[in-house]
Formats: sequence, structure tokens, C-alpha cells
Amino acid sequence: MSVLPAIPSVSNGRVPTWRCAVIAALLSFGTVSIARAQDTAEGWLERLGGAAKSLSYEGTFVYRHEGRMETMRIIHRGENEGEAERLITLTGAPREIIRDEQRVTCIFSDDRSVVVDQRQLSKPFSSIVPGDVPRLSRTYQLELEGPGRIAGRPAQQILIKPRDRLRYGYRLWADRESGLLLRSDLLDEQGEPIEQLMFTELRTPASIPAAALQPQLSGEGFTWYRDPAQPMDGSARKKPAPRWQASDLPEGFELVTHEVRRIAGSAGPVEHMVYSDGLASVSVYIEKGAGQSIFRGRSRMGAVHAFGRVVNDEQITVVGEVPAATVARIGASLQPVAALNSAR
Amino acid sequence: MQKEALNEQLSALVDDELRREEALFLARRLGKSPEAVDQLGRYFLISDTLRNQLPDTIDLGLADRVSAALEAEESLNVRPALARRLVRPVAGLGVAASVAMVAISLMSPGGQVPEAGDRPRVVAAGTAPHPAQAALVPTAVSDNQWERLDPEVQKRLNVYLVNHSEHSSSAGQLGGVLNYVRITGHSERQ
Repeated sequence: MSVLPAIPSVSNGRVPTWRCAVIAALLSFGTVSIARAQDTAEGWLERLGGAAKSLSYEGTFVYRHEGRMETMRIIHRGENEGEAERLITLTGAPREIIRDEQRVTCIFSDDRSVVVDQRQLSKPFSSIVPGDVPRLSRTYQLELEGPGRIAGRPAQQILIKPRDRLRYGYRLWADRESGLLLRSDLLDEQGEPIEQLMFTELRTPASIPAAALQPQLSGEGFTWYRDPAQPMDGSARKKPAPRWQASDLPEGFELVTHEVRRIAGSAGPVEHMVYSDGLASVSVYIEKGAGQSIFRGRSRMGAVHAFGRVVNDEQITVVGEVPAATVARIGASLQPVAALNSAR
Repeated sequence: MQKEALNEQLSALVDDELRREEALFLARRLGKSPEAVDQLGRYFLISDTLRNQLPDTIDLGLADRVSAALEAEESLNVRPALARRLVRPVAGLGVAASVAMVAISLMSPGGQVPEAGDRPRVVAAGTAPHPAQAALVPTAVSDNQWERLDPEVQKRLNVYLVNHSEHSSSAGQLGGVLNYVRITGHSERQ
């Protein structure tokens, strides 16, 4: 919808001078605003987020991590047609992830398993950009850098530098034409890339056929880990007061989600908390009776780190795309709320 | 003292990088702040985690045990390097309770003097492990690569990561997809 006023009709076919001046000023203001959005890192981040959600696109990209390189294909249908996405590995073990507005299905041929989980109802697709971009300035420095060229497309570089060593930075390349992300470098505490994702080919067709979003892997004979059936009235997503609390959160991290629900493969309810600084996020899962195999200590998958401890038969697992020290710090500071209250 | 500055000093203490006068000041601070003692315990836990030296049983109720130990006020076995740094300068002033608190946090379980080269660790719980814990088989994390964990642990972490990906909204995630790229791109090493 245009924000500019309709140009009034005039009997002599000429627009009065004062009206020309007003219109010129409005046009000028609009142009400056758009230019400003395009010329700031914040403006580009917002554009990236909008394009990733609204546009239909398909392309091939490489994913580099720990000296390895995988090639993958992504097919994304924009929100106008009902947002859906399919991610397929082209190298290594066949794996597929299908996401639509109801569920996410992960098919792993190498360990012959399928994980099915619900989409988050309040956020059908995670936004590339957090809703509160200005909040980022507390913990990150956003900079616009020079132009680039990725997959044959002119690109704009955006640098996101953390203000401490408890979160990662990013160097992003946005397609100047569509606003889509063409390349993402995840930067460690020293500013060195630890993960790189880069399109080698990208198309933005007007629509994506439904067949292109169907999995090739059937999952037949695989072990299925399904999201347990949840009552339709939403009572399964209980929102009781948190039983656990992190008492030593890094600067800028806040509790953004807390729920108790069954998740795929869990024997009972799992308490889940998400802490975020507006860009990085960390999930805490607390599950009673972790079975015969418990997770204690740390682990990592690329830039994702996990930390585990067991307290009174409750398995505490902290997962997030943050440095190891951050998950360990949050995990180590988790205490039962009752204990915290009694200490006060 | 600002919280961040205090935290930096506690972190430096854990890393054995604190100067003598700073250690003295910190010892006094610890004597007055149970929160700082808790924080110190957490830093030791984090430090041990990052070095894969996590003890089997962890009890973060450090402040309570410190208080109990202070009531007993017995002689303490302290890691030699830090003992020199902390106890000697204070000895002339009388052993302050605050220093005792630091010292206790550096005790090895059972009051044994650690062998040379041993790292300090979070005070291990003095009681037997929780029965439920004792029944479990701890998964040793000798290699912190996700795909080399116990298969059951790995599957649970995969489920958590899928679920977490639904909640994360990091930039560079292609609309939240980067975590899925990690999941698909980290298949078993061929």
C-alpha cells in the first residue's frame, strides 16, 4: 500500500506549485527512508529476514566445517503459497529434512531413523532476524561492509561482531536484488570462520511445485521418533512456573520461552527453556530418568555446543549455537527455583 | 566492585592467573559474599567441563559446606601454589574466614592433598551418589564430537537440536535453517 497521497486532479491539468513542493518533499522523504534502510546493517538484516520468509527459492550450497565440505540442496516455498522447505544432502550419507507449517521431519539414512517434531505454533518459521534488531546493539556491533559477489550475484556484506567472547559473530552476504542470504560465515571468538555456508547456484522461481517438496527417502524400516500426540486443546503445552532457573546468564540473554511438553523420543514431560540475546539462542532441557545412558560433560556439532549434568536423577542438557563456555556457564548455574528461593 | 570485574577475578582465580594482592582482595570479598562463592564454584565446574575433567558427582551447594567447614575451622589442605598465594600473606593477619572459603573450594575430596599437576575441582559431594544416579551408567565423553557419543545420547541430542532449531532465530540461519544444515551435514564420518 502506498503511503503517498493521491495526486489531486486539477481542472487545468496543472498541479499547483505548493502541492508540487509537498509531493516532492514526501517523495524525497520516502526515498531517503528506503535508502537509509538499504544503507545500514540493521536495514539489511531486516531485508534478509523478510526475503527468507516470503520468497520461493531453490539452490545448491556448500557447507564447510572442521575441514570438511558437504554439498546440499534447498527448496523453499514462500509464505504466499504456504511456507514449506526441503533440505537434502547431495554428498555423504543421504539425509533429508522437510518442514511445513505443521511439522518438521528429519530422515537420516545413515542411522536409519526418522525424527518428527511439531512446528512452533507461535512462530511458523523462525525469522532470520530477531524481532528487536536495536536490542542487538547491546551485545553486538553491526557494520555494513563492502560489496561482494556470490553465485554470480552482486552481494552486500554485513558484519555482526559480538562485544564479548560468549557468542559468535557472523559475516553475511545478502543478494542485492532479492535480499536472500547468499553466504554466511560463522566467526569464532577470534573472528576466524568456523562454519561457512555459501550458495553456488540460486534461483527464485515464481512458485514451487508440491512434488519438489516430497521426500525421496521413504523412511520405511527406520526407527521413528514421533512427537507424542498432543491434545488439540493445547493443554499439553503446559506453562507452569519454571522449576529451574539459570542464575548466571551472560549479558543480554533473557528467558524467552518456557514450556513443559512431551517431545519426540521422550519418555515423559520435558521442561524446556530458551534463553536468547536476540541473535544467539540456548535451549535448556530437563528430563527425569534419562535411562541407561546419561550425558555428562560437553559435546559439539560444528558450532553447536552441548553441556550435560545430572542432578537428582534429572538430566539437564544445554544446547545452543554459542561457544562451549556459554553453554557450560548457563548449565552450571541452573538451580532449582525452590533452592534459590530458600537461599534468599 | 562491579559484578563483571568480580567475575573476571573469580575466573582468573580458577585459571591460577590472579596476582597476590588481587587474591587477597578477592579472599576478603568472598568472605562477605555467598553469591561470589557460588559463582566461584560454577567457574570451577565450567573449567572442569571445558577440560573434560568433570567429577562423577557434583554438588553446587558450596556455600553451605563452606559454612559448615568454617564452624569446624580445622586446618585445611590447600593446593600448594594457591596456598602460597593466598594463605601465606594472610597468615600474619590471622587466617580469615574468607581465605578459608577459598581454600575449601580447592580441597580435594576426602581432604587429601592433590598430587602435583592435579587441577582444583569443584568440591565433590561428600555423600554417596544419589541411588538413581548410581544405577545409571555414565556416558564417558572422551571425545567431544557429537557423532562419536553413545548412540542413545546422540539420538536424544539430535531430537533436542531439532526442537531447539524450531526456537532459534539466529542471523545467518537462512530462516532458521542453519541448524538443520548442521543436522544434515554432520552425518557419520565415512
